[in-house]
Formats: sequence, C-alpha cells, structure tokens
Amino acid sequence: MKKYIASALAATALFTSCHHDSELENTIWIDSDTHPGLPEYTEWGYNTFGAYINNETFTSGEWYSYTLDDNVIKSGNDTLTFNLTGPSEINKVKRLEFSFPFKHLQWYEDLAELDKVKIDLAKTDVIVNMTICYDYEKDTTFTMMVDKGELFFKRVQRIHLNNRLKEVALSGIFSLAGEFTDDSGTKKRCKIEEGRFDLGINSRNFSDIITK
Amino acid sequence: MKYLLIILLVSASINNIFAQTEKKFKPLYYDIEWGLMACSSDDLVASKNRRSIYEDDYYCCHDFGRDGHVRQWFIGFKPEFQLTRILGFDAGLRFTYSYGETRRNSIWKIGERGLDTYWAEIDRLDQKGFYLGIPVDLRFAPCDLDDVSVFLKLGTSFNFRVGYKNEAYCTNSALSTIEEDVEEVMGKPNLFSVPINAGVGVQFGPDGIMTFEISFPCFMRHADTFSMYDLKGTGFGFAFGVRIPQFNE
Repeated sequence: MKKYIASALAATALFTSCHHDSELENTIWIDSDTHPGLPEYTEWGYNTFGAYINNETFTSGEWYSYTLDDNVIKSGNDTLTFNLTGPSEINKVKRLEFSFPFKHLQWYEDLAELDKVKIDLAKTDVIVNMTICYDYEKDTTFTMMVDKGELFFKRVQRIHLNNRLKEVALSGIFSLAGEFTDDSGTKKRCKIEEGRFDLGINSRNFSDIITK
Repeated sequence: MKYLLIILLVSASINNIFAQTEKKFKPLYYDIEWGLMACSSDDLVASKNRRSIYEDDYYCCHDFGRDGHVRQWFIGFKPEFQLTRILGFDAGLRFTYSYGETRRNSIWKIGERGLDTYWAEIDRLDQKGFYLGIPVDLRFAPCDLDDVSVFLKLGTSFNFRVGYKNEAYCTNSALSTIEEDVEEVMGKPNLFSVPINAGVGVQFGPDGIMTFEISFPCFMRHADTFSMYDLKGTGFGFAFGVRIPQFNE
C-alpha cells in the first residue's frame, strides 16, 4: 500500500514539474511593431530569434522553436559554438552558426559568463557558418567571409522559478556583412540585419562536448 | 417602433417643460444610493508578467482564464438639488470598494539580484482598493407620469484611495514567502479614479422616493484603479437609491 501511495505521489510531482518545464520551453512569439516578420526583442526566454538575411526573414518559427531540437550552445576546449536553427524551407537559410574563442563551460548555468559579451565577427578566429536548405534531404553549409559584424549577448540571466534554477535566458542582437562561395564557385554577398534572439538554455539544448 | 418611442419621449418632455410652472416640486432631496459597476480587463501588465502560450495558441481556447474581472461596489449619500421639475443636480460623498481578480496561471518577475532573476508561478491574483469620493451627477427626467418618472443621468465621481490589499496564491502552496514577494510586485491601485458614467433609470413611489438605474454603457475612463490590468474601458453598472425629500417647514 505504501509503495502505491509513494508511486502516486512521485507521479504527481513529476507531472507538476513537467508542466513548469514545458511552459518555459514553449515559444512565445510577439510580432515586432517596427520590423515586419521578425519577433519583438525580448528578455523573457521566449525561445524566438529572427533576422533579415538579404532582406528575407530568417526566424525560429512562430509556433515551435526548432532551437529546442538542436544543441543551441556547444562548449569545447577553448571554443563556444552558438547556433540558431529555423524550419526547413527550400532555398532558404536554415541555420546560422557562430563559433568563437571562449573558455570551457561545463554547465549551462556557467553561460552567465556571456553577459554583456560582444563578439567581433570579422576577427579571423571567429567562424560564421550558414546552412541553406536546397532539398529536404540535403542541407549545404557555407563558411562566411565576414567584413564586419557583431554578436552581442545583451543580457544573460539565470532564471529561478519558484526558487529553483530552471534555465539561462540568453538575449541579444547580431548583424553582419560578408560573402560566401556557393557550390558553383560563385561569390555571393550576404547581409544580415536586425538579428535578435531570446532563448532559454538548459541541459536539454546545452552541450559540453569535452566532458561528453 | 423606435421612432414612435422617440416622438413620445420628446412630446412628454415638451409637455413637462410647459407644465412645470404649474406643478410644484421639492427643491432638495437627500439621496442614499448603493450599486455595482463591472468591467472586463485586458491582459495583465506586460512589464511584470511573462506571457503564456495560451494567449497565442489559436488552437486552444483563446480566453482560457486570460482576462481579469473588475467590480466596484459603492454606497453613498448626496443631496440632490432640483433646479427645475425635470432637471436635478447632485453631489455628495461615496465609498467605493474595487475588487479585481485573475484566475489565470501566470509567471511573475519578483526580483533580480545581479545575473539571477526570480520568477513565481501564480494561480490567482486579487487586488482590492478602497476609495472615498465625491460623486457629481446631472439628472434629467423628461418623462413624468404621476408616481413614475424616467430619467437620464450623466455624472462622474472624484475618488481618492484610502486603502488597498493585494493577495497572490502560488500554484505550490508551500511557497507562501513567494506570495508576499508577488504581492509587493503587484503594486498599488491608482491613487485617484475618475469614472464617467451615463445611465438611465426610473424614479417611482410617492415623490419618486425610490430609484433604480442602469449605467449603460458605463464609460470607465480614468477609472483604471488596478495596477495589474489594463481596463478595456467599458462596462455596465446598476444602482438603487432612496430619495428623502426635505421636509417643508
């Protein structure tokens, strides 16, 4: 009898905690008043991002954030990789990936070290990769040659909900101008403007690739 | 039918205007009134509250507990000055009790310390405000049929907050200290409230001693007493009253 009561209590506790976690992992899309097609810049961990890439929108998606499917942050020995993944649409950008020198972070809570950090994307030790979906079966990734650009983690917060640490909210902006070489060897200019992100990071989408 | 009603009302008004010099009326009444006003509210104030998926999920019930409800009960005393038989003006003293609640599960920011931000998940929020005010009304009774008359009213009330109480209820009842943090973050109801009301009512009984009125629509402009909501601006109300005439010497 005691075993059944304990199981019922455990199941109830598990259900309740799952409800809290799923609430924070939802995407809350608020249309930007000034930039059509992009989400409003927020600092609530709403799991959205957006930018204009050559005047076309690149976003997380209004109903479901694909950032939750992928490791948004991967921490290596001296490198941090930050990637933004959107839905697959033919001939559209699917992913932007920024790799830059940063100390190794073992836990997602350590992401607070990124608060107010600005990354100069034109530096030679910074790599910006752009993945384009040409076919639902095949994506192609290009490395950008960046002339100028910046990734700015405007605000990083450790979020405590009901006195428990739940996630780290990463909010910031980015932009860049540069070029890449496509499959046919043609150089193409690329301009990314009005980039913004507001993401909730926890153990689900943070990866320490050294320890693992 | 609508036009017939308008013609009847206008004819009665004209008849009363000419008849008023013949019929006597008491120049002063003492009104005791009590009533209720209700208004729906918009979403919780965005700066303190994390939005919920239910607000944006078109496949779910869009109104899933997202709106608040605001009610005001009042009781007052005011002398009513009859300028003519059909036109009256009153001003007095009124006590108003404002009550707002939301039963939507919501997440509130209750504090920040360095890079740490603290949120609380709340099941229910109540805010009560207590106001003392001076109501001022203009009353026009164009239709007077012996012991029953219909009146139109336009008025306002200058209310000043004399007290308030916030109550928050966490989803986890063990976190009572967090409830106190949320109650602080909720803020205070506005210090001043000036609703504008338009209504229609009836006076009945000898000398129109009893009144009943409906404020419809009720323009609660500048009546936003709650710190948590953005009021939608319209509502409805009703009031009962007793008019005691000044006894002639």
